Amino acid sequence: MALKVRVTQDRSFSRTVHLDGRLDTESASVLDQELEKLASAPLDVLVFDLKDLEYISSAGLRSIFGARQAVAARSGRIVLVNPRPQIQKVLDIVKAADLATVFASVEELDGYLDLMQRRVIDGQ
Amino acid sequence: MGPRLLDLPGVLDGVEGFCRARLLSAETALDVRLVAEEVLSNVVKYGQIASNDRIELRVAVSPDAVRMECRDTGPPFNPLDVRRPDLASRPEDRGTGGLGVHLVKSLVDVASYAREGDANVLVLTKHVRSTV
Repeated sequence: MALKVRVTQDRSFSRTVHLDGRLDTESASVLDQELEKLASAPLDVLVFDLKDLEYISSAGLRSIFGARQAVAARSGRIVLVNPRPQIQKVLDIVKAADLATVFASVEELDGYLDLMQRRVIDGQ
Repeated sequence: MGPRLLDLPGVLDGVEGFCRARLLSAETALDVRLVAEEVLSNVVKYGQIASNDRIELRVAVSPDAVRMECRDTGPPFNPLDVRRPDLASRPEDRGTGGLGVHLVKSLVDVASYAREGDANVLVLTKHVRSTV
């Protein structure tokens, strides 16, 4: 089953990668290619919206956490939002929460991003 | 399937379709697909299978379990023996093989490997309740 990747920018300092379908051995390269395009973007936060992701395997985890490494090299971080139960189960097994905050809802994520936005403004 | 990752999606679709046809829950069908993906990709990537060898996956569904048997004629190799991940280290540092093994062991209840003649045989059993 195919993976569709859509990237949006909702705030100046973040981008959101929307994943639709399944992220596995076959489709991980599709995500990798999209992430490659973001390689030079200034990013404080890279959000992975998992609302429409119904399946993830270790190949997919490696893509997402590879992105974490790339973003961290530019002092940014990744966050995951809206995991379905099947995805949350896999994230729990691999203890993904040790490395990326997982937000259960967009409301929680927005609270976090609002806080970051105030800090960005205060810092100017 | 042959030892090609290219063959993997077709096999996994078959496995998942079989599980759903046997009225397993969507969650169980996806768990079985995930286990199959991790095991088969480890065999292809690390099992040093020759191009003319075959990898066989058999799935059997009974009222209380799904049994998966993966058999290949490569050199002695246990697909679940790939380096265990150090979960305290960063995921990008952990070999993907190890991460996949960890997922498999967390999703099945019984796992056993044996070398039978010239074949590697891995048997995995997941206890389930059918939705019927």
